[in-house]
Amino acid sequence: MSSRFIRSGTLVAAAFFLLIAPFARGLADPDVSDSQGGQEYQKKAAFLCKFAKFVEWPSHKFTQPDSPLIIGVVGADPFGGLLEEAAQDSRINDRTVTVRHVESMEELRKCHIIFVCRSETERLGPILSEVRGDNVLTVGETEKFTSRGGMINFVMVGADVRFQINDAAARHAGIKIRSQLQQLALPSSR
Amino acid sequence: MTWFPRNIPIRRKLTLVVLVSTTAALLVASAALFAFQVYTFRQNFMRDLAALSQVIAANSTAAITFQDADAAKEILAGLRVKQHIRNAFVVLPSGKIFTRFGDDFGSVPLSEYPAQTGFRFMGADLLQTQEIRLDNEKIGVLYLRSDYGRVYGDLLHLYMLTLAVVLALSSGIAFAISSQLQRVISGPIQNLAETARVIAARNDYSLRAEKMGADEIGAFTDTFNHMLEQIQYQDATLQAVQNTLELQVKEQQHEIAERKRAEEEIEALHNQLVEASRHAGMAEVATGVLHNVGNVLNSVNVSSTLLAERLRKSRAPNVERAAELLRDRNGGLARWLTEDEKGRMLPSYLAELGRHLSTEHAEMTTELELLVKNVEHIKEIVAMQQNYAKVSGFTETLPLEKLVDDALQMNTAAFERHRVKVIRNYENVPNVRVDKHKVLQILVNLLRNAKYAMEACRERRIELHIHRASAAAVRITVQDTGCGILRENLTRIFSHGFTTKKDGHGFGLHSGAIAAKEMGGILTAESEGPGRGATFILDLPIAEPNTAAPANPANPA
Repeated sequence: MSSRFIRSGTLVAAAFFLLIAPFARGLADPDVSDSQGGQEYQKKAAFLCKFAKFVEWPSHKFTQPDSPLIIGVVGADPFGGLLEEAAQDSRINDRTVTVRHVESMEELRKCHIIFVCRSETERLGPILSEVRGDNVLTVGETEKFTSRGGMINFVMVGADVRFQINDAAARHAGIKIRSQLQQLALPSSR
Repeated sequence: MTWFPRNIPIRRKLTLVVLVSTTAALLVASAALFAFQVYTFRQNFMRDLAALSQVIAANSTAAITFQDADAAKEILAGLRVKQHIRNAFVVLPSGKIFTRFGDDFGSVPLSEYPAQTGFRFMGADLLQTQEIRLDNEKIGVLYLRSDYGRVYGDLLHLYMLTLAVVLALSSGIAFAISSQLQRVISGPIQNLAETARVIAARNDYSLRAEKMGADEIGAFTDTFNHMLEQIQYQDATLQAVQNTLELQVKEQQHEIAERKRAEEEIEALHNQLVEASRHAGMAEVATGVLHNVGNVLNSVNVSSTLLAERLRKSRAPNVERAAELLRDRNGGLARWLTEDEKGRMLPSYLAELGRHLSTEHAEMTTELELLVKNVEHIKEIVAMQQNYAKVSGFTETLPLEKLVDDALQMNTAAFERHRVKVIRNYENVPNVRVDKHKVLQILVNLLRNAKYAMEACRERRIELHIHRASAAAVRITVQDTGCGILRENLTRIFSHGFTTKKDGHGFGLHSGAIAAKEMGGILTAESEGPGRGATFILDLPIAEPNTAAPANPANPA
């Protein structure tokens, strides 16, 4: 597993560099027209839709076997419709994927996955604590997201989208993240 | 089983049997095990490969989904521990190779690789195709190429080596064990064989084979010993029988010797008897001869007495006296003859005397001739007797009539005395070849017997016949009118010692029958019963013309 560490080390360094970069640009609103950013969020949208394939929720989370999977976007939507496109093409078994822009805390609890946008970095704590007992997979894209109780955090490694996983948080929320997915995860930064 | 060596010792055979069976069984078992192992190996190999590919496929789903080629490569790198995996690669539905592991694909282009899950042999390699699916969506294909041939070859090599070692070991152990165990079987057999050999060498049937167990060989040993017992017993019995036989043979030899001696004695006695009978026969002949001679001598006596009387009364002296008268008248003789009365009567006297003397002379001459004739007769009789008294044993060819007449002649006196009437009836027959003494002896005896048998009869008649009996024999029958013979005695009369005469010896007819047989003839008797006479028949062989002596007189045809 030594190679894994070596590789992880380099990845950590790269991730660190990339995580710093947006701040350097002064938290600019990501633009969908930006080709690199567009590709980034296209991937992230696809990833969001595909996470469900490697995640198991408690059965009571769905009213029907074919109940749609609900992805809630919290905050300023950086996808610009890409997520809806991805959801349109996605099927998780018999389920369709629905995207909602969450306006209230009430809505949060009904979602299976919530994506906490960068805009909500400051309110991350309350949001996470709001859905803590409701079997919601929390996905973010901000630094320290996992360490603050988030479950999956997107990280950019060069042009590639990678992610960190906080399995303990997921398990705590009654969500099972399959090992295949966990294998892909970058180590969480503390 | 012609291949199996037959001429080696049993212990080797047993060892060989064990070895061959062991090896054969081991080979069969090994072959079965081997086949099973190979089959199982292949099955397991494929199953393992399938399982491996499934695991890798399952593990790769997330990496493919999230396009993490590094992670995918990491997953495939785990195949490093599987040395037989030559290469592995994941192909996306687009045809793009997502990640790979190991050496190159080889010469086969990727497009020809099967897209469906399954196995395919590519040369010695086994290619496993595994579809990678996520939620029923085919997100990629995993190819695993394994160096099956090498592994299989290594395995075969190992198996062969193991088999060879096991075979060598087991053969060694089987040989060691069977070399020891074969003694259990071959020991008793060798023991038996050794015993049999010793018995055969020494001819000693008192030996016994040692029984070394209660198996078939033990039973065989018992049987063998039993047979030995029987042989011993039979040997003893045989010996005893042989001893007894030897004793018996000795006794018999002794007995035979004695019997021979007795036979010789009997022979000697018989010869004596024959001689005696011959003597007796000769005596009879002699009696007849003497009788005849006596008869003739009577006539001779009469003749000589008569002649003596005639001579005594002869008138021859008167001539002398007349001559004296004439001499005294010397000178005056003429006157005396004319004048004297006496002188005148003298010439007539002389004439008368001459006449008388002539008559006397004629008579005496006649008598003398008769005397000479009688003496001649005696001479003939004696000559005949001498003729028959010669040593017998020579056969000669003779006319039978002469012999019969001679026999009759010898009994003539007796027959005359007893007033026996003899009728002769001779046919003209060829000469016979016989010993004339024997024939004469037989005939004289038969005639005497006939005469004797008729002593008490009023009519005494003997008929003698000679005729041809067959082509080779002449028959003489002597038929009498005597007392006859009892039917039961018809054969007994020829046996030695049998007689009906008061003073008989019982060998007359016996020796007669023997003599007839010796000459190649036969003597038989017939009688119609007591008082009705008897007929004795003597058949004699005819002399073969131009033959001095018959080749076999004892076998007349």
